[in-house]
Amino acid sequence: MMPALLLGCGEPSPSSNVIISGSVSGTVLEEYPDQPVIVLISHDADMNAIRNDPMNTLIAYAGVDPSTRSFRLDLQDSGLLPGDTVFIAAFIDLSPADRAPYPDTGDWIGFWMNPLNFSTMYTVTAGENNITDIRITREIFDFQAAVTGTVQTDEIGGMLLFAYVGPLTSLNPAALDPDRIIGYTSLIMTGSPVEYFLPILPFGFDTPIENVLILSILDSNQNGLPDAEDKIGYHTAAPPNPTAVTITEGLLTDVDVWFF
Amino acid sequence: MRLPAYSTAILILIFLCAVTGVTPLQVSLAAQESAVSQTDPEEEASEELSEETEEESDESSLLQYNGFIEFQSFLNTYRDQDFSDAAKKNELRSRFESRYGEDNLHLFVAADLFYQFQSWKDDEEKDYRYAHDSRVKRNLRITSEDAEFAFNELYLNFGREGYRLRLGNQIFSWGTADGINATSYFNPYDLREFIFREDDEFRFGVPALSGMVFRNNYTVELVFVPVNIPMRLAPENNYWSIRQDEILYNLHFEETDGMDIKVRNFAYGARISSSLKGNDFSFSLYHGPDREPVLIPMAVEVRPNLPVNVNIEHRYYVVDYIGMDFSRTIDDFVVQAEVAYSPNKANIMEQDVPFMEVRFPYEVERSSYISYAVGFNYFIPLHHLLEDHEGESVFTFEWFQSRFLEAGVSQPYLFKNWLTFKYKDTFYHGHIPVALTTLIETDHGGIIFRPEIGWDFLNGMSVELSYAGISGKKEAGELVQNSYYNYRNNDMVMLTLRYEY
Repeated sequence: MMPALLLGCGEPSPSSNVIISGSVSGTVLEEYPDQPVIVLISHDADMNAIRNDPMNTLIAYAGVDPSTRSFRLDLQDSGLLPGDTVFIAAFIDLSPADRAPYPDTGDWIGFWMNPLNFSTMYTVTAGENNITDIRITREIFDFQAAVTGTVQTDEIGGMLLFAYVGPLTSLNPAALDPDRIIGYTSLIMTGSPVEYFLPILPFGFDTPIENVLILSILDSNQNGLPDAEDKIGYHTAAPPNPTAVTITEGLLTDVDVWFF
Repeated sequence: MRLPAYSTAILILIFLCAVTGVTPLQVSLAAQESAVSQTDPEEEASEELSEETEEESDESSLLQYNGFIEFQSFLNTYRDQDFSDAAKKNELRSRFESRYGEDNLHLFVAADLFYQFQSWKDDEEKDYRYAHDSRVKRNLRITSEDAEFAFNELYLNFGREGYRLRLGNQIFSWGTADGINATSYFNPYDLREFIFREDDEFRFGVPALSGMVFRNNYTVELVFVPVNIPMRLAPENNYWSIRQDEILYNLHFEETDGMDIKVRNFAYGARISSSLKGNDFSFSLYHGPDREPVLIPMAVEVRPNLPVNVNIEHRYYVVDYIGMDFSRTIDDFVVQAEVAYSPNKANIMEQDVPFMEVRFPYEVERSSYISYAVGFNYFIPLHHLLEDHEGESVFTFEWFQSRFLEAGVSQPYLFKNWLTFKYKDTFYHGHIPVALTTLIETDHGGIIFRPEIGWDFLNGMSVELSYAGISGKKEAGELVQNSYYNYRNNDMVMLTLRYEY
């Protein structure tokens, strides 16, 4: 009908063929069965960026099927490629219906977390990515808080640093309750002490948050997974026992982490 | 400012005065006819024979018709798609115009039949629909997904010397602007192809009763439209639908059949036109439903596995307008201007906040509003440069602007600030028509560039090839992006084959 040459030549933009699916759960869904549940996927876990610049931060933002409490998002046109990392969260919107659903103070949220290393960033693969159930168990609060200090070690390797709301019954990572992890970051140790900055998520606990332990796991064998060969560090004011801190609005400084 | 209470009286008074002024002339004509009829019998027989011959030819002249059959194809040049998806429109159109009757009493019809060839596509693949469902509209437009039958003009014309009346579907071409006519109050636009419909497809006819009085120095036209005919945008999932590529939300437009048929929603207007020392000018008044709806974001709707829907309602409001238009020929230039002012046009209030903080539904307020166009047509004396050039070379420039004057009211979405440059000519004894049009939307930096070239066989057959390149910039924070940005991937090559009879 028309010569093909009129279309012009050129490589089409890459197509990712990435699909992310999963389900949501949580007692709050039973409490508010008629409220919308949204799953969002973004380039990072910075909720401030999601709040202030959603157009440039979000990759997907869609409703969860209320009857099955599941979702399946085709991200073929999003530009997402296998190997990219994304933050996947789901929230129930309890705000009045005169606004677009948005994770705001008073809503409840849950997000995907790697149970082995507590990372909130999921690495996508080609095709269907069926993630584990997202438990919507954290109420959203409105505060900005962070912890800084120095990791005092000469070790070399990757390190996980996280804030955990006690009580802590075991330093075995497998025994930790993911819902009590309220801050997470990763560092690379290069043989000398390293300063850290640990933002506290405004989810699940409201300031002041008492009995917070600053813990670290040094990947001594550099296999990317917590195991028996890894070393455990923590903040302490009275070695060798961990010392809890209270998180308040703002910056809590000089919370050094030691390895024993 | 309330116009309706006394404007009706003014309009009726104008019409009665004009009609009363014609009556003495009618009596004079009757007396002349009586004098002519008193002739001798031989002359009468001769006249009867010639009258019989005239009757046969008169019968054939009672029916006049013309029209065309046209095939039009749009090929989208967006590279990121399969070739099979690039063929967007393959439309057969039949236009039929007919007048049956005499000058003083006749039936006029201008009908169009459209058919879209896309039967090989699945429903999901179809991206060129006239409508979502099959319906008969108020102005007798019969529409379905793949076909449409429209009577944009279908009226009975009755006239005598000095006046005429029309009843039925009509198009009122008020105004002198070449692009958007601010004073064309009655006929809504068909924007299902944005601005790429032909001139005779761009507006819907409206059922009306109209009268025109012709005096030596002026004409007066009165129009009454009892039924609101809404404007049309492309339906969803159409090549020309207003869509967002936003991750957060999708736009869902809820169509309307127009305002309820009630006395308070009737439309009526008047226009008086005259010429003075080479200046043609008109003044007009209008009261009735606005030609364009207010697009009101009403609510958000959460959908499984899809972005939220922002539901947008088309809502019409009764407004008042006063307008004027002007044109004057100065040597090779025809200068024209047109302006319309409304004291009570409605639109949504701005919400200059991020999407997450927008409150639904948007509030609507009335505001003073002005819309105007100024420009000129320059008939280029190209034959001075090209000796054998026979065609009419015309360069057109026009600036159109529309504005709400109250603070906080959103500016018009559809037609805001437009610059138009157009060059039109024919070459080679009229065989080769060419045109080059550039439209610039100055608020958002949108541009449409459209070159056209054709071959006219001068026997009714013609073929035209054209290209439309559309570019636009995104505006941060806008819930509904401007049209140029919305259609930025709709660049296309257009082929039109036509046979006129």
